[in-house]
Amino acid sequence: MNHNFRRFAALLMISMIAVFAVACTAQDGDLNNAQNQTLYLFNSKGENAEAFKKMCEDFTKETGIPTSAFSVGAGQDAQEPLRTQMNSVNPPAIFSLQGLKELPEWKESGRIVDLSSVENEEMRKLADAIPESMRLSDDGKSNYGIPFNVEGYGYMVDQRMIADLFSGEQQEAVIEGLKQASYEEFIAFCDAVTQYIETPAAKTIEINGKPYTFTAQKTERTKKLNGVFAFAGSEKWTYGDHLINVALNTVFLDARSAQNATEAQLESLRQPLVAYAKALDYVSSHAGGIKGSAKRGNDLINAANFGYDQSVQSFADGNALFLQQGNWAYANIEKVSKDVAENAVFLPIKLPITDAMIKTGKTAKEMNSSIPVYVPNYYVINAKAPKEAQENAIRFLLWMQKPENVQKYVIEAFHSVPYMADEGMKLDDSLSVSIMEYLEEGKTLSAPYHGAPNIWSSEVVGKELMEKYLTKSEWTEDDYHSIADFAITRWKNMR
Amino acid sequence: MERYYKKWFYLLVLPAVLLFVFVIGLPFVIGTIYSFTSWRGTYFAGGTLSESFVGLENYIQAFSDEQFIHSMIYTTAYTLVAVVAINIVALSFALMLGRIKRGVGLYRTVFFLPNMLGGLAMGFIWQFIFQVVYTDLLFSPDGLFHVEFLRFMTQDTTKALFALVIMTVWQSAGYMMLIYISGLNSIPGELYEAAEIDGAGPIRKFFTVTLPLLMPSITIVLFLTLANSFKLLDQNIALTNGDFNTRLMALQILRTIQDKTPPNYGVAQAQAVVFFVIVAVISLFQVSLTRRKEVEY
Repeated sequence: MNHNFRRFAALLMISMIAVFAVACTAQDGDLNNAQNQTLYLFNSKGENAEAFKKMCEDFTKETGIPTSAFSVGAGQDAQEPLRTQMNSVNPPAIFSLQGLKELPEWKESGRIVDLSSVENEEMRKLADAIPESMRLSDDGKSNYGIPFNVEGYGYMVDQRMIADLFSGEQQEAVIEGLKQASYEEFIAFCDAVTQYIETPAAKTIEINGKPYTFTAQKTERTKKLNGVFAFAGSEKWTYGDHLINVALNTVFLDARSAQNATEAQLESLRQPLVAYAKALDYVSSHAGGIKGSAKRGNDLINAANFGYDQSVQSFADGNALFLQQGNWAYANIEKVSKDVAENAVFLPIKLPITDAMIKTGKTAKEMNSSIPVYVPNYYVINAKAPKEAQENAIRFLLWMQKPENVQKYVIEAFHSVPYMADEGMKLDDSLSVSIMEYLEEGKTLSAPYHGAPNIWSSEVVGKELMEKYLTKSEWTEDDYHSIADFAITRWKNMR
Repeated sequence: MERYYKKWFYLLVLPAVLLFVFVIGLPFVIGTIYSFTSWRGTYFAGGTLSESFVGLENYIQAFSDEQFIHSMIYTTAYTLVAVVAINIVALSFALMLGRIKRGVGLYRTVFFLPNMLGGLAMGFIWQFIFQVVYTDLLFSPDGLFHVEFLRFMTQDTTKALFALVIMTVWQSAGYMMLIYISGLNSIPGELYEAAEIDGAGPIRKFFTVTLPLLMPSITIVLFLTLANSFKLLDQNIALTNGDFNTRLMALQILRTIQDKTPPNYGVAQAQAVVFFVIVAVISLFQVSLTRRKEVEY
C-alpha cells in the first residue's frame, strides 16, 4: 500500500511538473508557428461577437488567410481586455478604438498605423475617402482608423403615438414640425402634452408656425402616457455625455477642436451650458415612468426605478412620449415592443440657445433641427504587429469595406449604419433609416464630448448633476449658473 | 509514512511553491517595481523600464489625491463597523445554534447560503432591496414603519457605509458562524460544569470560559473579516459604484486607471502597494495581538 502510494505520488508530481512545463513551452511554439499566418483581431463590440466571428470566417474562406477574433463580453468595458491582449504573445493586428479619447494611449505606445502613409495605395484611397468630420485624427493630417459605423441619438418618438394624439393624417406634418420647431415651441408642445395627459381636450397648438389640434378623447395608446420624457436618472451618461454634447456643439465643431480647446472657447461655453441646465431641468421634471409620472427627487436616481432598462421599458410600453437614446437601443426596445421599435424615429434634442451663443457658424434653428451623428468605433492597425500581419490586416479592412460586404455584415449582421452608405444599400431598422435622413439633409451635429478631458462629461459633470441636482425638486437661476461654472472649472482643471 | 514525507518533502511542496511564485510572488514584485515607473498598462512612457523610473512621484501623487485619502478613511471606517458587526452576528448565531436541539443543520445551511453568492450578484440584489424594498415598501411613509434613515441608503456617504455593512454581514456571518461553532464545540463541557459549581452565571461563564477559549477562532475570524473588508470591491461596484463618495480603496485603485488617458497604471500600482502595506500591517498586528490572548488548558 505504502509502496503503491509512493509510486502514485511520484507519478502525480512528475505529471504535474510535465504539464506545467509543456503548457509554458507550447504557447511559445504556437507563437512561432502562427505569428506569420494568423490574423488576430480584437473586437470591442461584444454585442456582435458571433456575427464578427462569422465575418472573419468568411474572410478566411475567401482569402485563405487564417483569422482569430477576440470579442469582449456584451456591455463589458473593452479597454482592459485590449491591454491584456496587447501584452499577450499574440497581440491583435487589428483592434478597435472608441474615438479620440483612446487615441493618445495607443499613439504614445507606438501601436497605431497612420493609414494616410501606408504603402498600399488602395488603403490610402479608402482612408482619404473618409469624410473629414469622421476621421480619427488629432492634428487634421493623420488618419488612424476606418470607421466601424455611425451612431446617432435624439428624442425617439413612436410615430403612432403622435397619430393618436392628433388625427392620423397629421402625423407626418406634426413630426416634421417638431423636427423644425424652436426650443420654445417644443416646450409649449411638451406643456400641452402634459396638460393633455391630465385632462384631454381638443386644444390647438402651434408647431413650427402651423396649428394642430389634439384629439378630444384619449385612445388606448395615449391612455398609457403618464409623462413626456422617459428619463434614466441613474444613468449619468445620458445627460452627462449625450445631452451635454449638444451644448458643446455650440462652440466645438468636432472632438478634435474640443481636445484643443482654448481658454476663450471654454469661457464661451458658459451660456450654452446654462441653456443645457435649463433643458435638463425641464426634461427631468416632466418624466414619465413605469410606476406613473415621476417627480424629481431621490427616487429619480434610483437605478431600480430609473435605470437604462426602465427608461427603455417606459418608452416601449408607451408611458412616456420621448426617450433620449441612440439607435443602439433599437434591439432593447424591440425586445419589449417590436411595434414601437419599428415605428420609432428621431427628433432633435433642443436647447434654449441663441445664434449669439454659437461659435461654429451654425444658427440656433439649424442646431435645434439636427441630431448628433458620429463614429463610435474605429478599426486600427497595430504598428507593432509583424509586417505580414499588418499587410493581412490591410487586406481584411479593404475586403470588409467592399459595398457587398458592408451590406452583408455592417448593415445586416451588425444592424449598424455604415459610415459611407450608398444608394444601393438597404438599412434594416427605423432608427437607422431616421439617421440616414438626417445625414442626407446634412442636419447633423458631431461628438465634441469625445474630445473633452477623460471622464469629464459623465463621471464629473454627470455625477455632480445626479448627486446634487436631480435629487432637488426645484432648480433656480443660480443653479443653472453653478452647473455651468462647475463644468467649465473642472474642464480647465482636468486638462 | 513520515519518512516518506521527509524524503520527498521538497518535491511535494514544489507545485505549491511554483504556483505561489508565479501567480502571487512574481506579479507582486513586478507590481512593486512598476509603482516606481511611468507604466501605462502596455508600455512605459518615456522609453524602457529603466528609463521610465520616476522615483517616489507616483506615491506623492497618490497621497496628494483627495479621493485616495478619502477612500482610505472610508475603507477604515467601513472595516471597523463591518468587523464588529460580522463578529457579533456570527458569534450570536453560533451561540444560538448551540442552544437549539432541532433543525440545527437547516439553520446552518440557511445562514451559510448567502456566502455562495458572488459579490456582483449580491450587490445588485441588495441594490434592489435598498432601493425598492427598503425605500418604497418597508420604510416609506406609506410602508410598514417610516424610518427615513433606512430609505435611499445608496444615496448618502454615511448611509451607504451602513448599507455595505448590512450586505456584508448578511453574506459573511454564516461562514464565520461555522468557524465559531467548531471553536465552541472544542471547549470541554466540564469547564462549564466547574464554573457552574463555582456559582458562575451565563454572562460570567461567557466572559471567563467561552471567550478566552474561543480566542483561536476569534483570531481566524478577525483576520478573515479584516482582510475581506479592506479588499471589498465587487459589492462596492454593484451597490453604489462609488457614487456619493463611496469608493472603497479597491474601487479607487480600479478607477484611477480610468480617470486619465493614457491610463496612469504607475499611480494605481503605487496605491495598490500602499493598500497592501496597510492591510498587511493591520492583519499582522491583529494576529499577534489576538494570539497573545489565546490560552492553553
